[in-house]
Amino acid sequence: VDKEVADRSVLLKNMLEDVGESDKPIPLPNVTGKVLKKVITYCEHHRNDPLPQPDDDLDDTKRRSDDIDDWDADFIKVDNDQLFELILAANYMDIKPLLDLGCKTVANMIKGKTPEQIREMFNIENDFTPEEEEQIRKENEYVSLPLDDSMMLGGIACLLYYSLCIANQSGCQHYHRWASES
Amino acid sequence: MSDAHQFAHLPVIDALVSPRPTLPLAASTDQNGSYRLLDLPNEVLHAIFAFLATDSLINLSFTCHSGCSIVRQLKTWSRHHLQVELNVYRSSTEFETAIKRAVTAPRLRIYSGYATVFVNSVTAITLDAGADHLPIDIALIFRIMDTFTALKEARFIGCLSSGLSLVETVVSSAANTQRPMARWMARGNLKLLDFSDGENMVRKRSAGPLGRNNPPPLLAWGNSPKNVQQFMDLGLTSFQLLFIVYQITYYPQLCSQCYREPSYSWCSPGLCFLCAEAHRTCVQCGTDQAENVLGNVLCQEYCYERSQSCVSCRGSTGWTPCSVAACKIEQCPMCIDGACAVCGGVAYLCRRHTDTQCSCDLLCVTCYKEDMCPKCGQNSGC
Repeated sequence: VDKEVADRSVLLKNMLEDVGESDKPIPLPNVTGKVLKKVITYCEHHRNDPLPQPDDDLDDTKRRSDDIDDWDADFIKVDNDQLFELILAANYMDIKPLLDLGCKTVANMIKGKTPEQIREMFNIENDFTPEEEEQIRKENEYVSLPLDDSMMLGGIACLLYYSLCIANQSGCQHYHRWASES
Repeated sequence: MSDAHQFAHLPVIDALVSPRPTLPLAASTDQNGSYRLLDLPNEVLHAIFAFLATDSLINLSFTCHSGCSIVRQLKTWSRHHLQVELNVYRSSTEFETAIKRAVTAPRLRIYSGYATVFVNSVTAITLDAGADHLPIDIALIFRIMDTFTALKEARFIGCLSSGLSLVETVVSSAANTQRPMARWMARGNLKLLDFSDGENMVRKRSAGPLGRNNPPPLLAWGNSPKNVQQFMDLGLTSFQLLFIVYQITYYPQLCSQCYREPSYSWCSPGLCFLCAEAHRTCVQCGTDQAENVLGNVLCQEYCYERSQSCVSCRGSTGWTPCSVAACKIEQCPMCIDGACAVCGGVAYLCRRHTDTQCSCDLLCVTCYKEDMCPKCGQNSGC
């Protein structure tokens, strides 16, 4: 592995500086070979990128998850297990761009999902009682969800039925009766 | 030899291959050997959640106990999470847009329009340190906090110590550390309180201004019951007329002159009744004013203070706490300006203490202490 590739990892960079010119192996006990190969692929592709600055996190405008380039998006198309392993490896090896890429990917997976969909996606067991669920919902009721599909379909159905009523010259009474009943 | 060649022989990969990541640097796995999202280390979860907006975090907290706990403890959760009136905003995007509108509102009209609508819709605020998905102008935060100060109640959810730390940071970053929030904090108001009454008050105010059908029954200042008095007790019956005859809007505001003191805007168009007696010109534009039937003075010029309370008599439209943290007294409402005998600053003291025969020194807000004038027997503030 080239030094400039290894230097993408702050952990490795520091270790290499400590070791100096030596054949001594560098232990990375928390990363599997499969994941490490993937990490190296990433580092090789980004070997010429500018290194992240310490105060990058302070810039709120950079906290976006929709700015993943095509190569990165393709690179990170892995199953959840490998994604988490990559994130853990990036965290351990201190490769911030890769960590950000993994975190953005997970964040994008969560965005727009209902709690049930999140549970299903990440294999999370719902251990709330119905009372607890209601309590949490009340505490956070200021966040209202956008119209769901069923409501939109209901609205479309209303419009279609209304149009049919007019077309059949049956007036609006049928529609209003139907709407109030439904 | 280049650096690349120098390290090319390092047996990194061979040495790195290990059968399975080990804890604590890796996450735990479930029975199938799969990683679970919420078992990732906290710092990793924080990094992930930093990219999530409020509604996604809320949905995540609905998934399980662990998710709820982690989301609530997140330091990257948001610097300012504002709980707004139910159904005011239909999504986090709309909420964020409202904040941006409020932040970009013209400063001189900071208590009107979008900013006021936004501030009035806030019923609770969560303070925490960390990344900020909804960047809010500090002035707006102060306005919202002032609303809570005015209501004497606030609820802080989440990590209280970090919330306190944030407020301290905000206060210390301001030019003047004696801002009302500092005093408010010094008085121990920054704590978990039952917000039910305060929330109702916000909703009531949002529903409609104080006026004929909704007059303020009491004037209250401080936390002591003895400080709650009827208008009648204070000899301010004519002041109360403002609420009965006119539809007067009530909204707390910062003093637009010093930006230090919160004041209560009980105003009709123009200057308030009490100010009209003390001042014959508009305090902002300096032009002469016409008097209406109630003694209300209308500014002849269209200045931005027209729809606000009088600036110079802010003490008469509200009850301003002493800036000395340990001091429990409040300034009386009928105030005049004077020079502080200690520091030479502007003093706002009781009008009744303007007896020219009295040699009692006027003190400014900073130097203000409760005392009784030995000559005239009035609360001198000396």
